[in-house]
Amino acid sequence: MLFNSYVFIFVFLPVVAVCFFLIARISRNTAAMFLAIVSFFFYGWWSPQYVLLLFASILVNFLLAGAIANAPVKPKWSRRRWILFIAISLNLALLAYYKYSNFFFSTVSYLSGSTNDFIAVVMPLGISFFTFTQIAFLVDTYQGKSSEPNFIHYCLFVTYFPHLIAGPILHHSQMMPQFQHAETYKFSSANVSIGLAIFVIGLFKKVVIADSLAPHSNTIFSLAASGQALTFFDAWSGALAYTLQLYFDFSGYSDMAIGISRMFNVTLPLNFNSPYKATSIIEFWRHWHMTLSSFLRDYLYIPLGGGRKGTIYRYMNLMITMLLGGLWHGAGWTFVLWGGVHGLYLVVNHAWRTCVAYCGLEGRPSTVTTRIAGRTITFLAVVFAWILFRSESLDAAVIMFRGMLGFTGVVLQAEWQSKLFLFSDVFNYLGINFGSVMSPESVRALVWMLPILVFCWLAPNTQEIMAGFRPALDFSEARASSFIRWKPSLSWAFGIAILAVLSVLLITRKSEFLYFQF
Amino acid sequence: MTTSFPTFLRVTAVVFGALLTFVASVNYYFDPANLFNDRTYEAGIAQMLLDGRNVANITDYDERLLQKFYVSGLPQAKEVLVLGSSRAMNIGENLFPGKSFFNASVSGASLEDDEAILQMYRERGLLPKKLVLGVDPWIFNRKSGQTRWKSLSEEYKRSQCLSTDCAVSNWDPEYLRWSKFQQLISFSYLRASLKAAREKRRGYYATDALELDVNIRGADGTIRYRTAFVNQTSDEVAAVVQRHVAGKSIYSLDDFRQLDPEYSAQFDALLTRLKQEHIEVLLVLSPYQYDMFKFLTAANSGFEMVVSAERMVRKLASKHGMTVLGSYDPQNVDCGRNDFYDEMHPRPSCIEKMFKNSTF
Repeated sequence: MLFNSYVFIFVFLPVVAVCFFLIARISRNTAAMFLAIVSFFFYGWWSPQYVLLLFASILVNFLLAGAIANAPVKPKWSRRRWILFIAISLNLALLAYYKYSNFFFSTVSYLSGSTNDFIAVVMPLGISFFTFTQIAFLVDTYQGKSSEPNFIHYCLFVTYFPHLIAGPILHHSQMMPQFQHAETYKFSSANVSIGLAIFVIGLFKKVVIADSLAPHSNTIFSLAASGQALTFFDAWSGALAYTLQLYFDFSGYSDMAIGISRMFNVTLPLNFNSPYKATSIIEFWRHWHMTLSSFLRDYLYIPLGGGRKGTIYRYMNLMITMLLGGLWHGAGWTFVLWGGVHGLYLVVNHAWRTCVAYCGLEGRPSTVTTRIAGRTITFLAVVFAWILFRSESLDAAVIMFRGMLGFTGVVLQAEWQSKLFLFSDVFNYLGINFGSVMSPESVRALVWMLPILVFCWLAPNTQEIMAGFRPALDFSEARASSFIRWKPSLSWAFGIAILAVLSVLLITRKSEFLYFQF
Repeated sequence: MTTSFPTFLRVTAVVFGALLTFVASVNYYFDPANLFNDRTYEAGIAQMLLDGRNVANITDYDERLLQKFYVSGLPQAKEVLVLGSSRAMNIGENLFPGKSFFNASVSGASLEDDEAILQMYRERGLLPKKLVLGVDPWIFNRKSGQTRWKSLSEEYKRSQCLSTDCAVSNWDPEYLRWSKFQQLISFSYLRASLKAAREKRRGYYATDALELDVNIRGADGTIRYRTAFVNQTSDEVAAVVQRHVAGKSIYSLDDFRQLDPEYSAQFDALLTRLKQEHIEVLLVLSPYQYDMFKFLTAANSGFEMVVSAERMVRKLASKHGMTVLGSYDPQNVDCGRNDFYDEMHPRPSCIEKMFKNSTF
């Protein structure tokens, strides 16, 4: 079931909320169980046969986590450690089978020149997210940070529908203690108001902004995939459209998840914090898909040794982490390359910081110029990397790069030449020619994207707008926006209602969330 | 001014509900696609056509229902009937002099449409002696996205019950009803409603004009497009084609990976049945515009099935001893760049070239 569907907004969500709070009046445990059951239903709406797989994964992990918790801590390679090793291997094997077997067999076929058909495996929705959530729980249990003796509560932790399909990736210790509070089971008009406002802002970001950008980005990347050469404006419009689409799509989804959960009195962690405002790539990764970044840091980068064994090892660990992070996003070489490029960016960024420190320039206050330069370079680096992420093949990515770098010419539509009259000579002087372009909409799309870009760079994000009401875990009021702050007022009620109506009217352009595929 | 949380929720809900109700009311009142009216709109047009008058300014109506009303008021069978999509809508009675004629083509016709419309004629005992069947490649595309035939789902269902069993796939009246009501809160429907309100384009009227700034449905069922559309130059048409090519989305042909075996078998069965009913059938393949056809048939275009579809139609025609007129390739029928309204609609000049030597 999609958050941006009529059935979710008008039926599932209100019915579940009303039933949950009514049941909670009688029994909290039953209410928690109800929430777990409807979460399975929510998952099964897409494909009922995978509910069993989800349940089996939960059951096995619950049993193994119990075994880990009950096993003795010492010696170093104790039974406890072996169980953890087996449990993580099982999870990774499940992920490998469903997510990577197609990739593996197609690569083997390509390398061996074999033309044998293999049966394509259909990837269950959200498998990357529920697998990572459970791996984090197993490790936390091993480290003594978490334990969950109640199977119903464990089911709820994994399946809780606001985060089940596309995150945020939760730690048990972040979420389940909230279900121990009696207040969680009582209807709170404050939390429903806050949650509703966050949900509507997220819905608007997804349905109105991201879905409006999608057709243009799809057109350009399809042209590249079919081998058509793209001119400068075609390629840039496609690249920027996807850059913005992905951000508004996924951050919109995360806002919706946070908002829905808040209606049930459960606060989720922040997942996006204006990543395109980042002035360095290190900062970008602290603000983009934050729960995944934390996961990769805590459960991959640090166990690999992090930066403890010296600079070279640190860079190597960064590269490994980002390459695997890329692979997590998708079973394809373009994703691995995308991860590799970001790994390289991070290495360069860390090396730069080391140089700055070595030259004694560390700690100098940044100026407006350095901030703008940092933000521009970071943004362009991210845009170029998204090309690899979105392209259907390396060849298609090369076509996009060539277009963006002007190798195929900077061309405006021929019919504009007469409209621009005298200015056409100026354009010619600047090296901009008039001729045939692949997508006549490209320049217009770029003009439309400009205010959205400015909005991304200058406007406060959802959490900064809502900061007065602790919209997400670890988000303090100190980060509140200075010029636009939500509060329960009549004007905000009108504003939220108008955003909600606009979003609902546009829902008929049905589209899935981009991150569902990961 | 800050208020309490319950007041915030109440006001949000009331404003949301009021705005949504307002939008739904506007959509219901103007109803640009005539989804919610009593269908007197289509019935009125059908009556005018039955009276032998050309009708102008018909907007966003259900073409399938128009055919239904037309058949129900038809006093006697036509000698020649044309079925097909808008690509066959310019096959006019001038090509069949001296014969009673009607072009019952509907936009985006799928195989289900052809079956359902024929069923209506069959049930009234008005099947024609000669049938011109416009065959578009997408009728073999399972993913053509054509669902408009569902307006005639009962007729289609009955047409299938006669020949095979009564199990009809792709038929879901609940979905049809639900999707209709979704339009009440649809932004695109609102836009169409506001446009209809602004342009006051609700009324259709009888006309003897050959061309107007609105479309005309001829008494013989053909369409005469509005002046602006007709007067497009071949360069403008080429620009339209270029846009479609750039978008890589071709009407009803997206995701056309294979000739659907079920549809292929069903088409074969339809021809068999028509033969059993002693109807003389002429299969017509309307050409695509030159650049569009070139794009469709280019290597790795993803639309290669168009050629396969033509090949199969010819093979089946040969099997049933039927004549095929035209080709999806404009060069095969000698249609030039000036012979098209857009990427896929041939002008009457092109159609006349196709029928030049026909003795049908």
